[in-house]
This record gives sequence, structure tokens and C-alpha cells, in this order.
Amino acid sequence: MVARIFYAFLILLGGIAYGLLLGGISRKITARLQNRRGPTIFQNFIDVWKLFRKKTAISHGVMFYLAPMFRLVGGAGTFLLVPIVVGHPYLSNFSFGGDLIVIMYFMVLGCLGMALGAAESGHPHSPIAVTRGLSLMAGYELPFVVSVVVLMIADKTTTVEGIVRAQQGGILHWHIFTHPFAAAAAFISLLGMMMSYPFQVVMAPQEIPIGPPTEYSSSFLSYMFSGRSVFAVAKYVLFMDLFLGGATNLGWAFLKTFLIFLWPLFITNVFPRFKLEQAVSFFWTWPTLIGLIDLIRIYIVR
Amino acid sequence: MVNPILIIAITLASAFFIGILQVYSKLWARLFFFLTLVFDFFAAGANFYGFLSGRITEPILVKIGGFPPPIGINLLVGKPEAAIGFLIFTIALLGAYHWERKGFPEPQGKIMVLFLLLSLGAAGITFTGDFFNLFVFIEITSIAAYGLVASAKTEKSVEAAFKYMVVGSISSTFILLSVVFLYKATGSLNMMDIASRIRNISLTPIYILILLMFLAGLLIELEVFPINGWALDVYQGADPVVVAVLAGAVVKAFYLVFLKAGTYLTLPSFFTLSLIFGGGTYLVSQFIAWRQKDVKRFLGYSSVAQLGLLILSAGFFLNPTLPAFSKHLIGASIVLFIFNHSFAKSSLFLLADNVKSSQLHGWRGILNKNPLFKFIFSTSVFSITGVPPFPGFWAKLLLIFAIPKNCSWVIGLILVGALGEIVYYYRLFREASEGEGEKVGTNLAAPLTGAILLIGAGLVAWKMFATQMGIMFNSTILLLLAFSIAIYILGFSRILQWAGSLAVVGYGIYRMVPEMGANLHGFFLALVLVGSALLLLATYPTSKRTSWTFYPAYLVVVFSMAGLVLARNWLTLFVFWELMSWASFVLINMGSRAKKAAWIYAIFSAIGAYSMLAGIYLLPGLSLTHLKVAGIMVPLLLVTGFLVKMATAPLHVWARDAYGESPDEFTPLLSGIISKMGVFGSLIAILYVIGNISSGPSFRYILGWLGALTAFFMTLIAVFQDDLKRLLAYSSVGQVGYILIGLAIASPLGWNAALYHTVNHFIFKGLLFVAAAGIIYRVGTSYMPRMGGLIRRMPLTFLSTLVAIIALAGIPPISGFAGKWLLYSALIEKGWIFITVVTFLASTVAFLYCFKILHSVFLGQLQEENSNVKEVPFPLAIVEAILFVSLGVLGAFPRLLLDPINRVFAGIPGMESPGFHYEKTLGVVSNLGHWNALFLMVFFVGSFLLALIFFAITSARVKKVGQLDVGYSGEVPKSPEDLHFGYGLYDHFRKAVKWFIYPMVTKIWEGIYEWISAFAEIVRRIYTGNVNTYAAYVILISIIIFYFFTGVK
Amino acid sequence: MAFFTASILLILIGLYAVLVKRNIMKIVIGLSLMDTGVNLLIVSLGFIRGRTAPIINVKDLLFNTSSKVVDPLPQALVLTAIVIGVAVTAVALSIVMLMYSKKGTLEIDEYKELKW
Repeated sequence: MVARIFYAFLILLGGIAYGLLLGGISRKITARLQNRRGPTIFQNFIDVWKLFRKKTAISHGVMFYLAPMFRLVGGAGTFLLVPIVVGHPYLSNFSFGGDLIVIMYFMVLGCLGMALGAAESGHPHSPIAVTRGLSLMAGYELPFVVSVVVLMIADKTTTVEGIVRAQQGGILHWHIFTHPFAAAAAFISLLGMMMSYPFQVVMAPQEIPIGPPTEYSSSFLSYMFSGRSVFAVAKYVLFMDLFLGGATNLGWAFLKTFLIFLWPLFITNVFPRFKLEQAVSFFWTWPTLIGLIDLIRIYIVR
Repeated sequence: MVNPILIIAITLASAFFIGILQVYSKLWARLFFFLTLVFDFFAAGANFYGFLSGRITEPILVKIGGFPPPIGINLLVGKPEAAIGFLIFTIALLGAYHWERKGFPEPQGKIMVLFLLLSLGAAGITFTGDFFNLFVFIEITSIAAYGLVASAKTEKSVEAAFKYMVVGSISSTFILLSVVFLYKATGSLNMMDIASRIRNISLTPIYILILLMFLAGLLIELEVFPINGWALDVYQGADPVVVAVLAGAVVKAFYLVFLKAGTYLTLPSFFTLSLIFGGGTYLVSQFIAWRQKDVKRFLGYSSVAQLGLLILSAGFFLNPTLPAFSKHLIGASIVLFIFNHSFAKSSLFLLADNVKSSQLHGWRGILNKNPLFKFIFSTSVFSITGVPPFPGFWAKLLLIFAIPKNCSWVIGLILVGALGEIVYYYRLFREASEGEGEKVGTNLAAPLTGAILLIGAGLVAWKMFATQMGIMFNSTILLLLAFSIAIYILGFSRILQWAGSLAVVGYGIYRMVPEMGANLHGFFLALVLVGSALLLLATYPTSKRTSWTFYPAYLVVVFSMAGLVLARNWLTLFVFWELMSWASFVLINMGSRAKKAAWIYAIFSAIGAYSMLAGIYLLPGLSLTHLKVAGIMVPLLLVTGFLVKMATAPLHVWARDAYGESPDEFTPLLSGIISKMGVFGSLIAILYVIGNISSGPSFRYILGWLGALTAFFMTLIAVFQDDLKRLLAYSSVGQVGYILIGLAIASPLGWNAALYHTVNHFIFKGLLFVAAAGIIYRVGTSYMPRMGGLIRRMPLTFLSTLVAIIALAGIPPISGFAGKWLLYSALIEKGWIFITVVTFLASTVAFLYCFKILHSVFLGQLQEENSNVKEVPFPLAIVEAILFVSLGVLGAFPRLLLDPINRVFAGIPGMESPGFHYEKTLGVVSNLGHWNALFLMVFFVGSFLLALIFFAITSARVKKVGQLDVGYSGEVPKSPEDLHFGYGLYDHFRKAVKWFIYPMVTKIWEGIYEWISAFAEIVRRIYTGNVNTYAAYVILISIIIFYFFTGVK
Repeated sequence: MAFFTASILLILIGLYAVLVKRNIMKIVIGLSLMDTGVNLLIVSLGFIRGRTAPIINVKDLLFNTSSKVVDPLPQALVLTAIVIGVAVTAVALSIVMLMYSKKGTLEIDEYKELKW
């Protein structure tokens, strides 16, 4: 057990680092697309370290103080509940702790904690951003749930391992190919989850700079930053497990998650922004309808 | 035994004597008047008691002038006659006493004479055994009544008297004609004699016409629709005492004649006629009253409707094909109806005499002026509308279960009418309890007597008939209910009442421990008693506002729920169900802005209860065992009753205001436990009835959809509520929707989910409502945008609310997730995939309002006016602590709850295996997935602490700043009000979902109400107020009767 | 049969007045007419052609009385009914007086305060 916790810790550090790196890459690519030089791909590491070493930090209260821990633990916890390599003694993480339903709800914990801390700061921008974020979540959750239910029904399991195992035996067994519509719905909803551009209403730099963590600074912010990075990685891993057949070793895992990471990145740089109600309406119509095709198919052939 | 002729003769003699005496001394005349009435009262009472005690076995036969029956006039007084006679003089005495206290109306002497004549006439109608004598007494009664109605000498009363006289004359013409023709046909006037002779006569159309003419005359006097315009005018225009005696006593004498006519004059169409006229009058009057703004006329409509029901019952009572037991039940029901209507309606009319205005708006707030007035009013209204344990309830119940199954449409008619009655009576209730009204008179002795008699009769009826109907009561529950009422006397100190209530509930738990937990009933019993005890603790009387009746009503709700879940019989369940519903109506009505909410609650409770009653009636048996039922009707009716309490869409419209405006101390119980009775009911309905019908799965699928749609829409609407309790109300309704889904799945997993969520929802929603009560008490408003930043003032409440919210949102590691996990597993296992999607979405949307509660109340900027609020009162804090700790413990160890649930289901066939098992590493393992609650808890808490410690050690100096120190574009904000974002929190989201939150269902219900009102408006226009028209209706209806029922075409 | 028809006609005339007439006095008269008609009808029911009144003041009525007189009962009933009719009319008239003293009119259409 001790070894397991030790390895989990290592994996977590790796996840955070990977997340920060992906963040750096994304900034670089965006800059290049905009004909800028952009920061180095290690910029996020630098930022986190800088923030972490700040001498003072401002606090607005208990919940404000605890929120970054919530964020970090929520992100890290989600990451550790999703198996990276199914069956691997350490890389399967703590996936025994719960199945997909557990993961989907555990994901919310970090966001909730962060939202509460941000709200306690008393800055009006924070609740504005939080309510937008929650509303957006209600939007993208529908197509995502549709596709998740398709997988659960198709594979007769609610565990991530089970879903990964059901995709073994060749690339064509991947759910992205066996259930293309469900996968499409999920990948569109991933755009919302990643807050990439047509759906970027939470941070919305023009209106409410920075979004929820408006009042956060120094070491608090560094925690939040790390938490968000690892949370993003957790989602990539989850999508890999659900649609791309999981991974048999770390190399594949890096490759597949990197591919998934590229998808919102490409979208985000070429689109303008929806208003919130447009975003929600969009999620509740097109991707949902696409997902429903597979849902109805499953319902009929079952 | 007192010779009945003495009653009549002495009263008559005294009437004449008073006429002379009053010239000399009004005081002596009045004394003599009362002496006569008291004598009559005791004489009639002695006879009735003789029959009751069995001392008199044979009917008393009085031969006037010594001639034996067929020749001479005679009086024949059996048990029914004695009873009605006693009733007449009781009401007369009460009415006269009311007059005496109020100041006897002028001219005293004449009124006394007429009053005596009226009573003796009614008694004569009751006692006589001779048709012509009957006519004479009818005339004596009528003439006295015309005079008395006119005696108030107001424009209205005189007008009413004239109309009464015109229509009454037509009626007596009919009766006289038919009596004489009857003599011509049979050669006799004696009732018994005619009855025996008529059997030997072939019923030619002419004979039938004669009999019909008699019946038509009676029907006019019995105020059937549409020939009752005169009666309504009399009710509206005459002195309330006169009306009380007319409606309470005289009409009952006519009703007895109607019964006799049905018995002696074997008329083939009696059944059909009484069904058409009784049922029609009942149904129409109950709805016309909706538009009535004059309280006295409105009571008149109600009287007319009650009479209609009596006429309908008479039809069944005299139907020879009825089995003996049903006949017995209907007889009992008629007795109870008469008693109920006589005393309740007289009390109401006498109460109306104490109110200056007879307009509905003039009754506004009068209940809040005088508690005694309120008591009498509530008792009478409850009794008339059939609330247990009053006689009206038993009467309705007995009648319904006595009606044979091939006439089950009559049940529908009775119940629909009863629903109409609820609507307008409780509108009066609403109006009368709203705000502060004018002062009312204090002449309440007579109506108080009526109210006490009603309660007594209700209890006697309970004892007499409950066992005959197969209704069994747990004696402990009855004892506890008695204690509950007794708590009232501690009302001088709220704290004492509170402590006393706790003691009673504690005693209840102590007595009930052996029953708890063993099976489904015991499981819910434990939830009810232990849960109520906790919530009762939190009702610690912080304010003086709490009414004296709060704790008694609260305890009645609690113990009727206990009785309900212990019931082994559908009818027992129903009785307790009604008791619970109406006691909670009383509690809801205590909210200062809850009057309309209580009205709507009453209506929907009634919809539920009556549909449940219809379902129970249609069941093949009454015990809680597996019953074979064909078709979808029975389970639908049955389950509707339970869905109302669960506020499942589309029956949810009562919930928002009932939860939102009911007293803060009561709402936790309403949401936490009372709604769970719907869960219990649905569970046993699915278990015992729905599981057996052929269309079972599809019916359950519909239920599942109802649950899912309720969960989704209510959650969505909750997001946009700005009132804390309303938000929690919608949330509560939505959460119960999940439970319904679980129940509908009816697999081991599904039911585990449902029961788990039932308990869990009680814990977190009870906690949230308790916290809300504390917050509202401290802050003084439930409007969330006026709050904010309270985390600094109420840390414990924030912590417990936070935990409850996490449970509500179903986020691990707090216990709320267990229900979600079980539910989704069950849904996916069952393959109800569309419902799964909707449910998932609903629970995501729930996050929106979860954040809203936490943010608007506790986070953001603390407003200036709230800067001095304190933590919630200590007892509330204790309850919060207990509840949130149990949420956490259950979160880590869900087996603490899952194991008892499995024990409950172990005894049910098909449910032996719970659908999941436990493993060491994987935790709870179902066929589909797994979830390790303990691991998640340890994992989360461990890593959270680790992160926290690491942060505390490594991080920089943390500096606490004031609430206004925020980065705000370089400005320094002046006041928290400018900074707090509390209003219109989800306006953007509202734009996206505006199509989903359009209050369609509410509009539909309102539409139904409007349509019925409009229809009532049209129908009641037939009462033009013109006496020509009234007479024309009489003639028209008579011709129709004669045409259709004589058999001549 | 003539009695019969006449009394029915009388009742109908009375009824007509009650149903159609707008004047309260006329309505009361109508009621009175109806009453009279009914009384006549009752008497006519007991009538047997060729017999005498059932008053035993003549010697030859003392024996076999029942075959010589008309049915006495309806006549007895009618006596009562007439008295009652008078009482009703008296009450009716006093009510009419009251009505007139309140509103000063005998038009029935003026007395429609109580309705619906």
C-alpha cells in the first residue's frame, strides 16, 4: 500500500507537470497562429514557481483559504481515479475507488470548492464567472451524458476498466469508431469542458478578466493553477479511456492524450465567442442530437 | 317514555298561551317559551334514549281519540322518528338560546309563537303516521316558516319569505292533491295501511302519477336542483337562527318523510329519481358555490348539496337489491350525514350571525380575532368537508364503501362533488384567516355546543364503525394522538409545549422500538419517529408567533404518519393519511402569508385523497397483500394520491408556496418526512397492486418518466428562485422525483436507491430547512439577495449547509452520492436510457442552485443590516450538527444504511438479493460497476489535509483583509451593497432555457379552475331571483318527472 | 266530470297567474285560486251521484248511512284545507304588505335582490 501511495504521488506529479507543459504548448501554438513569438513552453512552470514563492498572500476568509486545496485535491483526485493503463499495478491508479459515475461526480468537487472560495472573496466578477461556468456545465453535460450512457449500455458496465477492455482487439474496436456519433457528441462537449473558444464564457477576458479566481494571487493561485492543469489531464485521460481504447503503456497514453489535447486547441483559435445562452442552446441541440443517433441505435439493437 | 302527542299538544297549547301571556309580561312569556322548549327537548330526548338503550323496543303508537290505526289519526314513533324529533328540539333550543343571548328579536311574542309552531310542525311531520295529518303539519310548519323568514323585516327577508311562500304553496298543493287521490285509490290515509294496500294494487300510470306528485312536492321541500332558488334566497335573506333551524331541523323532518315515502309507497322509479335529483343537486351545487360571494348564500349552496347527497343515499338505502351489510352501512352514513349537517351547518349559520358583513370580503381575517370563533369555524368546516375524525368523514367513507361496485360511477360523482366543496369552503377559510379582520360578536355558546357535539359524534362514529369497516388502529398510536391533543393545555408557555412534545415523541419512540426496522413498515416508522424527534428539537420556540395549536397539530401529523406506516389495511392507511394531510393543512395555514398556499394545498390534498379513496374502493380487497387488479385505472387512482404528497409533476403546483410560506418550524417536517409518506405509499402500491397488473411494466415506465421530468423541471425552476425556502421547495420536489424513479424501476437496486435517497433526502433537506429557519429567524427575510456574507456570522450553519449541499448535489464523498450511484446503476441495469440521460442532466442543473444557495446566503459581501446577526439558536445548531455529522458518517460508511434497507427487502419475494455485494477493495459492487465510499472519504480527506498542511508550512504569510478590499478597477468601493452580486444570478441561463420554465402546468390548472368557475357562473344565472321563474321551474320539472316516470309516452 | 274539469281549470288559471303575472297581488290571488280549485277537486272526488250530504240530521239517514251519503272524508279534509288556505292567504297578504311598505311597489321585478 505504501508503495502504491508513493507511485500515485509520482504519477500525480507527472500529471501536474504534463498538464503545465500542455498549457505551455497551447500558449505557444496560439501565439504562433497569431504571428506572435509567444512564451516558452515552460512558461507555466515558471509562473507556478513564481506565484508559489511570493512573500505574502491575501485571504478573504476561511473558504477562500481552503478553496485552492479543494481545487488541487479535486483535480488530483479525479486524475488518480481514472486509470491510465488498465491492469497496470500502478498506472491503473486508484480506479478501484469508483466507476465512471463516481468519477463524473468527483470531478465536480474541485470546481465547487473553487467556486465557493472565489465567491467568498466578495468580488462581483467571481460569482458572475462561476454562474456562467455552472450554466455552461449544464450545457455540455447533456451531450456528454448521452454518449457516456451509450457506452455504458453498449458495454454493459459502468467502470472505466470495463469500457477500456471492451475496446481491445484492434483500432476498429475503439468507441470512436464503433459509436462515432456518441464520440462526436462527447468531443464537442469536451470543447465546453476545456472552455475552448466558441464556449469561452467563464474567463471571458473582455468582460470579466480571469473569471472566478479574480481575487486569488500568489501561492493560492499556484495551487489553483496546478489543480486546473492536472484536472485537464484527467479529462484527456478519461476521453482516451472512453473513446480511444485506453493505453497499454505510458507512450501510448502520452500520444493519445496529446492528440485529444490538440482538438480543442485547434478549435479555440479559429472561432469567435458565443454568448452564454447561445452556448447552452447549442449544446442542448446539435451535439445532443448527434449523440441521440447512437443512443436510439443502442436502444433499438439492445 | 313520553307520549309524543304530549310534545305536540303541550307545545301547541303553550304557543297559544304565550300569545296571550306576552301581552302582560315579555319576561314571563320568554320564560314560558324556554320552559316549553326544554320540556320538548327532554321529552324527545327521553324517547330517543329509550330506543337507544333498548328500553323501548317497539315503535310508539299513539291512537288519537282512541281509534285504532287504519281509522283514526295516529302517531307512529320509531327509532328514526325519535332521533329526528330529538334533533329538531335540540337545534330549536340552541337557536332560541342564541336569540336569547343576542337579544330576542322583536316582536318577541309573535316570533316565539311562530318558532314554537315551526318546531312542533316539524316534530309533527316526523311523528305522524297519517298522510293527511302529514299535510296539516307541513302546512303548520310552512306558515310558521314564512312568518319567521319575514320576521327579520328587512327587504331581503321579506322578499325571501314571499318566494318561499309561492313555491311552498305549489308544493303543498301537490302534496294535498296526491294525498287525496291516494285516499281515493286505496281508501285509506294511514301510512302503514296504504303501504300494505298498495302492494295489492296494480301500478297503473295513474297511481304512479299520484305517487310522483307526492314525491315532486317533497322534492321541492328538499331543495333539489333546479327548483331550489327559493331555498337559497331564504338562506341568504332570513335571520341566521331561522335558517339554522330550517336547514338543521325542518329539512331533516322532510327528509324522513322522503324516506318513508320511498318505503311505504313502493314506487318503481324511486331509485332512479333519487339518483338523478340527489346526485345532480349535489354535483351542481358544489360547483355553483365557487362563484358565490355572499357567505350565507354560499352556505345555502352547501346545504343544498348535502341534502342532495342525502337524497342520493336514500335511493341506495331503499334499493331492495342492496345486501344487508351495505344497507346497514348506508343507514349509518345517513344518520351521520344528518347529524353532521345539522350541527355543522347550524353552527356556521349562527357564526355568520356574529359577523357584521355577510360578504366574503367582510369575513376577511375574522378568524384571527377570536380563537373560540376560529375553533368553532374550523371544526364545522372540517366536519362538513369530511376531515377525520369528524362525523362528515365517516359518513362519506361509509356511504362510499356501501355503494355496490356496479354503480361505481356514483363514487366518482360523490368524490368530484366533494372536491368542489373543498375548493369553496377552503376559499372561505383562506379569506377568513387572512390578515386582521373586523371584530366578531361573542355570541358563541350555541355554535360551540354544535362543535363539541360534532367532535363527540366523530369519536363515537370512529369507535362504532371503524372496526365494522375493517379499519384497525394501533392502540399506542391512539394513545399518542390523545397526548398530542393534550399538549394544547401547555399552550401558555411555548417552551413547555416544546418540551412536552419532545417528551411525547420520546415516549412514542420508547413504546414503538419493537416495531421499528424489522420490515418496510418498521423502516418507515423509524424514519418518521426518529426524524420527527430531531426536527421537533429544531422547532425550539424562538418567537412568540407560534400558535397554541402548533405543537398539537405537529404531533398529530407525526403520529398519524406513524399510524399510516404501521397500517396493514388500505382503509386504515387512508384514515391516517387524511388525518396527516389536514393536520398539516392547519400547520401550513399558520404561516402569515400562507393562506393561499394552504388553500391550494387543501385542494391538491383532496384531489390526491379522493383519487386514492376511489382506488381503494375499486381494489378487490382491503388488506395490504398482493391483490389482483385488471387494467390501469385502479393503480393510477391509487398512486395519484401518493404522487400529490410527493408533489410529482403535474401535481406539484401546491408545493412551492406550501413549502415556501408555511411556518419555518414546520417546513423541515413537510419536506423531510411528510413527502416521504408519498414514497411509502407509492412503494406499497407498486409492491402490492401495480406489480400485479398486466400493464405493469409500462405503467411503471410512465411513473419513471414522471419522476425524471419532475426532477428535471423542478430543478430547473429552482435555479431561478430568489426566495430561500421556495428554492429549497423546488429542490425538494425535484429530489423526490429521483426517489420516484427508483421506486418505478422496482428492481432491488432501484428500491435500494429509493429508500437510501429517502433517508438521505430527509437528512440533508431537513438540515437545509432547519438552517433556513435559523437564518430567516436571524436575518428576518427569506429573500436571498438581501443576504450574503453570512459565513462570517454563522460558521456552523455554513459548514452544515455546505455538507448538506454536497450531499444534495450528490458529490462524493458525502452520503448523497450513494443514492445517485445506486439510482444510475439501477437505471442502466434496467435499460431505461432516456430517463437516465434526463436524470443525469437534472442533477447537473442542480449544481446551479446549490451554488446559488451557498453564494447568495453565505458568501459574497456581508450586508450592513446583517452585520450584527448571530449564529442560529442553540437547539437548531445541535440539530444541524447531528444531521451533518450523520451525512459525513453515512458518506464513509453507506453500509450503515444499506444493510438495514436490505434487511427490509429480504422478506419480499424477488427482492431477496440486493443487486450488489461488498468487496474489500472495490467497496459496493453491482453487476455493472463499483464504488468504494470509505476509500473515497479517506482519500479525499487525507489528501485535502496533506495539501492543507503542505500549504500552511510552505506558503507565504497570509494576510486577512476586509471585505471591501477587492481589486475593483482602482476604485475603493463604498458599501457592500454595491459589490454583492445576489440578484438575477442566472439571468443569462434563463434566456437559454426560457422555453422549459414557462409555467405551463400551473397555467393549465388555473385554466381548469377558471373554466369551472365560468361554467358555474353560467349555471347559477338560472336563479334569476324572479318568483315567476322559480314557479315555472317547479312546474317544468314536475311535468318532466310526470312525463318520464309514469310510463305513459 | 264537470266538477272535475272545472276545478282543474281553476287550478290552471291560478297557476297561470303565478307563472305569468307580474303583480304580487295577482300572484297571491293566483295562489288562492289554486287553493280553491284543489278544494273543489277534493270535494268532487268524494261525490257520488244521487246521494246526500253526510250530515246525520234526518231520520232516514240513521240506518244504512254509508249507502245513502257521499264519502264524508274528503269533505272533512276540505274543511281543514280551507282553514289552512285562509291562513296561508293571510300570511301571504301580510308579507305583501311588508313588501309594499319596504319598496312601495307591487312589481315582482323589483324584488330580485336575492339571486344567483
